[in-house]
Amino acid sequence: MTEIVSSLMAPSPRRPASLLWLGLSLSIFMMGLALIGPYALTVDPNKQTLAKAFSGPSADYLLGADQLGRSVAARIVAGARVSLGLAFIGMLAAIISGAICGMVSAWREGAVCALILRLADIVIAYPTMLFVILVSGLFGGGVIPIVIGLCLAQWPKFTRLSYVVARQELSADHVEAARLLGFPATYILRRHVLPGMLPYLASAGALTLGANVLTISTIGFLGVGLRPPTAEWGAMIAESISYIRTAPHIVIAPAVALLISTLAATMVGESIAAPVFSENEITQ
Amino acid sequence: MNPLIVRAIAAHLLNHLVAGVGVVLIVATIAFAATQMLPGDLALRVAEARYGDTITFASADEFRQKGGFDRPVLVQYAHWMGSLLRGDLGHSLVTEQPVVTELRRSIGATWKIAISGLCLALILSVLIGVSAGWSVGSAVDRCFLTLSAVLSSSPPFLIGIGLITVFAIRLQWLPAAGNDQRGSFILPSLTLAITLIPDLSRIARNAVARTRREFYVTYGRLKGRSWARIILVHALRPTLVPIIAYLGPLAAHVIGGIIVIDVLFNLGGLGIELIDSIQAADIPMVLGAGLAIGVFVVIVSGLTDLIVILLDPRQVRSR
Repeated sequence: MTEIVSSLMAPSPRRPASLLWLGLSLSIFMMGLALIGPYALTVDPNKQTLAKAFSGPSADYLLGADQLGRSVAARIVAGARVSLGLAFIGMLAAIISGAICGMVSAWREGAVCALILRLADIVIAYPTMLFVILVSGLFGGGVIPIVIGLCLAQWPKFTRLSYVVARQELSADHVEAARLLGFPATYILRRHVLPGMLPYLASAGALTLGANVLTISTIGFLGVGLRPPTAEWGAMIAESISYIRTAPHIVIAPAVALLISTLAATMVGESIAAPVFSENEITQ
Repeated sequence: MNPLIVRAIAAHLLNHLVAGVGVVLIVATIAFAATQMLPGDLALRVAEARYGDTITFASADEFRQKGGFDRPVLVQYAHWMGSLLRGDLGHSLVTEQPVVTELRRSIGATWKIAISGLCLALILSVLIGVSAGWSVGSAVDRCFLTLSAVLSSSPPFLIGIGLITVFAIRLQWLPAAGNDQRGSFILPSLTLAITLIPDLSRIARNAVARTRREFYVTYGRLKGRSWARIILVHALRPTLVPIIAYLGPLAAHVIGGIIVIDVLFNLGGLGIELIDSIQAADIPMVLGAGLAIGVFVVIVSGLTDLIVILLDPRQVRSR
């Protein structure tokens, strides 16, 4: 059943290249913000100046100050580092564990394979958001619980993808030859199977990155993500939501940063996923 | 009935039964692991949630003995799984009410919003899907694709905040939060519907676009049937199959969405219950909610698989 659904969910084949470039430039902008922003804007994101609370944009406070008189601009920049960094690490962890599980189950058909794929099917049915809320919330909501939660919720996607692609690669003649020549499994998987999987993993990964930013901000909003006073976009919105009438800029700024990041990741993901997935008729 | 179909249905039922058991085991194990690995002392955290600032070490000790939290880990795990297998979800550590009672109350506060949001999303998605998929590449279609990309990358809570700002604060047409005023269900349902529409309508659009190229559509047109009739009589049914097949993942989306929406609109339902019990380390409540959601998702996806097989028996052979 999932096969039809995912084939229909697959992005439509022709997407203009401009979308990719727009997405890429927005991503580079956000990444630049996360990487060099803290050095360019040397304001402490947690420094409170209560006299300045709710003030609008000025030379000192580029995007104004929040309810505790902290610089919104500095908090956005600090939040970019946290959100994008965590989303990226979570994605990487899911890709690596998923790729390993997928390759192992493609190499060893039988009980191991059945067990892994079965487990993947079960986990994939569970709401991602709930998984991350449970793991992050129950284990105290720090960096590591969030990454573990994201990884636990998303490895099955990559496992199934890698399994399908790895099976295809393994059935090729040159791989069969390498197997007969007695090359070890790790060598064959690394040299012959992994390169074929990379384009799929990369494009599915880009889409996951956007989803991760979204999930991290949502659990931050719900109060089970990173602990305050860490600057995190979702938590910033939750803290300032009651001032939306009097000082809308405190809510709008993190909301815009969040939207730009997720949109950029989606645009890049869909643009690179479309050709990869439609050419080879492999469903995510 | 065709034996092939019967066999496929039996295989599916078995699959979903195994999946159900798997969900129960996984969620229970995560929740149990959490009781062991929680930062800080579980007994103290619960005592704090129960008695506020007036806690003493004695009350924490009493709780620890009563709850059996002073026994070895493996004994606790066996006890935990044993009572779960007997169908006993236990009592909330904070309110001391049975978990089932608390769950029933919190689900009661939110299920109407889940259903109304879902129905709204289904109706709108089919309408949008038909109008975009019938003319792939047209202005309507391109508009739809852009909008759905934007909406699917916006977090549900931002969509909700946007709606509150416009309809509750600026226009003052609808209440911003709560569950007791007239019309207070509209904004939460609308928020849920908007978060579901991008995926659903994209499925509908692609299914319609695929049906559009079928021979029987061309044939109907050649016979002189009107477009409206072709869409209503012939094209809609194959569009419904992928949408119904998507109901399983959709149930997961609805639950993820309703948790956030519940907290945002302060509806006093499942989301608030879950977040509060997580923060109070009320493990039986968290486990109960997690299990209820997991089993629900498994049941929905099992049912949808059945419906799809019955609606479109071609699926069986292609497997």
